[in-house]
Amino acid sequence: MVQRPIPVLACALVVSLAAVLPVGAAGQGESSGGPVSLQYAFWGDQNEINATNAYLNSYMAKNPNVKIEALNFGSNTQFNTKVTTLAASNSLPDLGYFYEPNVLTWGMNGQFVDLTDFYKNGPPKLDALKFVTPDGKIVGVSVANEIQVIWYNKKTFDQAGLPYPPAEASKAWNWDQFVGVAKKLTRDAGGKGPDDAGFDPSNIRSFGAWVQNWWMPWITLAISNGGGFVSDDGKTLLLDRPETIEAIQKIADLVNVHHVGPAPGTQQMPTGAATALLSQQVAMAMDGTWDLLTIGLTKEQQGLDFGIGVLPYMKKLADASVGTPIVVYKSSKHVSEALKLLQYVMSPENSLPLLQSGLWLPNEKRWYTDSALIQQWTGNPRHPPEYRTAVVDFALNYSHRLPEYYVPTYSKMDDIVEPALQQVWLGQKTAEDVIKNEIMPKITPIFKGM
Amino acid sequence: MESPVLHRRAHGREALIGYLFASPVILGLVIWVMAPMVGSLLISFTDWNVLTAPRWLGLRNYVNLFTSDLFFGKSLLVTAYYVVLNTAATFVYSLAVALLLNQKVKGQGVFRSIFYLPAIVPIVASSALWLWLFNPDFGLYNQILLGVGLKKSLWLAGPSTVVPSLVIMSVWGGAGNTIVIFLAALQGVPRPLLEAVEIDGGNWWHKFWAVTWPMISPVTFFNIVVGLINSFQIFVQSYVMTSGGPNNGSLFYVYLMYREGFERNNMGHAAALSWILFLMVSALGLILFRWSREWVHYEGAAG
Amino acid sequence: MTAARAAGRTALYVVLVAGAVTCLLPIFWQVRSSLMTLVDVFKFPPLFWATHTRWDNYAQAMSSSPFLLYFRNTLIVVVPTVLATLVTSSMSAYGFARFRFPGRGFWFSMVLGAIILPPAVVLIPQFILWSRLHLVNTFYPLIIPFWFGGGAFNVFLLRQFFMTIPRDFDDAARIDGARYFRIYWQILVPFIQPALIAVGLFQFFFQWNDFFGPLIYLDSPNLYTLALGLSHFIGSYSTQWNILMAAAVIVVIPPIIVFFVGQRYFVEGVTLTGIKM
Repeated sequence: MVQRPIPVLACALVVSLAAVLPVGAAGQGESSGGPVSLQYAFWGDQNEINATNAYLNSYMAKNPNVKIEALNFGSNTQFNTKVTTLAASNSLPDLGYFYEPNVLTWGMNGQFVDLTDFYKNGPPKLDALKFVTPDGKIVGVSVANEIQVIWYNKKTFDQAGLPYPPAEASKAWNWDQFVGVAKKLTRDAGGKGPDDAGFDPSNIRSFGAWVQNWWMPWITLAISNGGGFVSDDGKTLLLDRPETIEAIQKIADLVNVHHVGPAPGTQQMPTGAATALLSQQVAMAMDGTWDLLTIGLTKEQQGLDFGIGVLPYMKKLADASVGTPIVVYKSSKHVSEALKLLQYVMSPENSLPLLQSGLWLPNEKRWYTDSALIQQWTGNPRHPPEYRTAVVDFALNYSHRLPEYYVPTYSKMDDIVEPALQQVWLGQKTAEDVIKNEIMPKITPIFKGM
Repeated sequence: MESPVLHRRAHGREALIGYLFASPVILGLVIWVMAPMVGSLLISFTDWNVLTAPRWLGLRNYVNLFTSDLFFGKSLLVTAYYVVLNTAATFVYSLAVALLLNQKVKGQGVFRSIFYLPAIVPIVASSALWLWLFNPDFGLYNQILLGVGLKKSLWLAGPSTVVPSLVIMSVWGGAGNTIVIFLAALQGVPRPLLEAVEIDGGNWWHKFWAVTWPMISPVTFFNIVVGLINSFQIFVQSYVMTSGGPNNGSLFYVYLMYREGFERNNMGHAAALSWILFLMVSALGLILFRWSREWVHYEGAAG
Repeated sequence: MTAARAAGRTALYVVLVAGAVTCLLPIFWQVRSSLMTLVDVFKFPPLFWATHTRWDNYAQAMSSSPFLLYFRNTLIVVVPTVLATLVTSSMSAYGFARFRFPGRGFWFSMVLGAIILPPAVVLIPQFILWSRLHLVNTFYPLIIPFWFGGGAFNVFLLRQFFMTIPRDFDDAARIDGARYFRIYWQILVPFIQPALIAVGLFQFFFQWNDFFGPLIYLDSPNLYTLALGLSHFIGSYSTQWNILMAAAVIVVIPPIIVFFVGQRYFVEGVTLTGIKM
């Protein structure tokens, strides 16, 4: 019965081998002079698409022999599928954004051009934005800097008769002060607060403070408490330090003990900070500076009277930086042209519209210290007056580097850490229990395996 | 009685024509299914991160799955839970609705369109929509629960409620196809047989079990098989709504495969996962087919 | 009509209406959100309808993406695919249902295997195959596979339906001198018309909403289909939910029309009733 299929299967085998014979091919040197065609990969919503096309077009105007094809890969998660299939068929773009958790693993596999020498020239970039492999090679630098702030609705504070969150580092709240204020701003359906008798935690109408459950907030606050995730030299895990455990527990307690925060979840509050503040469902939102674009638009179009405050601290002032890097693929046939474009895109002066819109912060130190430059990107109605101290100064002085920039095993470890911590955020287990008994035994071998 | 020679020739010719008719799908199978599957089997024996050449590992990926993989077991459990719950719920709901829609009622077309509508909504949009509907603090469903005197649920945010929540969403959005198939089958149940039961004094219950159920059994079987298989493929909801959480409570198998292959660039591992899935589902399919001989009733079986 | 019957019919209507309302609730929610400002969408306690109905959300949805282009692209993919599916899957199903040939059991179990197959397994090898043929970033990878059997699922389904038709019909036609193709085309296909319409509809809806295939194979934005264009409304930083809902409503209207038209043929196409066993 199976006679006929066998020759067919043999053919299938041959075809499939031919189809699947793998990649590993690298770029073949440079082509000289002549017209050059580059593929630039990125992602983002319509704003970012428009802004990206704008700066690419102006580059092409200045360099008529270069034609850039901008490939929009949808979102940072869709990017993975795309770039993997492109790699499998040996047709990667020349340069572009890259999904942060995989930058180091791809870099260590020799996929990206070593940019260490490239970044030796020119104005210095912020150190926290450099993706560095364990052997010291820079494989990418974030094109934009983003830190976290406290966004708040002034109207909510006015109605409660409370002073606004401080916008200067020297006046920053400590954690207990922050929680105290949050409690005064949390109201259930009957108008009661968490400290009032008859408060109903299952029927809260407005929350005082929304701190999200992903790694940026908790690592930041852990650092602020004297702990962290991985030491700066990349050699020690700090997750099981008492300071880290305490910080994580305090974040979880916001929801389960003090009842000032919305229910935890992987996609909690899909509204986003702007709408949550405008609708007064949330009084304070700890979120990234990228929100300025939508929050600013919400102010202009819907009258959200917002303010910016610096993060509260636990033991010391701390913030953290994130930002998608631009990498140059080794498989590119036009590496030197790609590097020229990289130079252009990485220079804040060429992406001013994105900086002025509030979506990006600059990646160069001097844009935080030189008054004239600061004026260029923050001197517009979108950036409120307190932006200078709450963001510019705070980022310059207190921002820390996050593990994804220097720990190659980070995303593997996070696969374990993140789900396990969800039990803590839900109040089902304590941070100490989960970290010591569930997480550390699993991530230690992964961490050491590097 | 035909002569033996004539009979044999007819048989040979029948075979050739049969092959011709079936050739599109046979060719399609070879090119788009079998060859790539062999390819992926080969990949599963390697350590391949897409960027560099693969490294032969033999069966090591498979061994790792059962010994050192931290997510395999949980993922199987969670997926099995979802598959069973979703298949049962979809089946019961679809059959019930199809039976209802098969009656002569006014506005039949409108009703049918309404019940099918959820299947047409783009999944991107419905995922966004249900995220909000399920929101524990401000979503509509918890308001409804409170309104009828029940307690709020965590829905997607609770490790034990996430799968039932996804099943609700899936039945809403996925039952449409199954309803349509059941309807098509119900349309084919011969009227005279039903009338015969009526004449004998039977009510709708008798009609259903004596006539309808056996007559639609091939399609029922089809829907169960396809329902099980489709349930195994659940992916978009994990991808868009829950990222496999909370605490891996929705770390469905295909999502795990995707993550291993496309986010961790561990193609060999992902391919091994996919082959295990394939083997499991094949085994399940075989068992189901065996079982079906007990109760599935074919009118025009080719034998 | 007896009282019992009347009660029965009332109960039927009640259940149907209750079910319809449950089904429609999320969709109603989508429509109401599509006409609201972003704040109203999330207002709590939830609003039933917009305080100020924003019809311009639809204008904004249409203008922020090249909708007509996406619509054209989607049609380019959907129409050939549905045709291909109807023709080749019914042909293949007929082959399996009515003929004996060596290896039939083997190939049919391959068909079943193909249904079971998670697409992720073969994604990379298939992609490599297409890129070797230099057909990535075209519509071909989305259309051509359906000329080869139109999907194992459909072959299986139609084979099951063919098998519900008694062989007597084939034999009667053969006695009348009809050849195999005639039997297929003129006798059996009309029998399974409801199933064919169902298959055509499924394929249409699947292709209309498929975003994974276009994601993988279409690089240039001017080739995007509606489903892919829709996913771009979900931003990495923030999402304009009300505009997304408006866009989704626009995307869903053609399939709704198609279904409403198609489901009527279901009812009219029945011929299996009245058969004497």
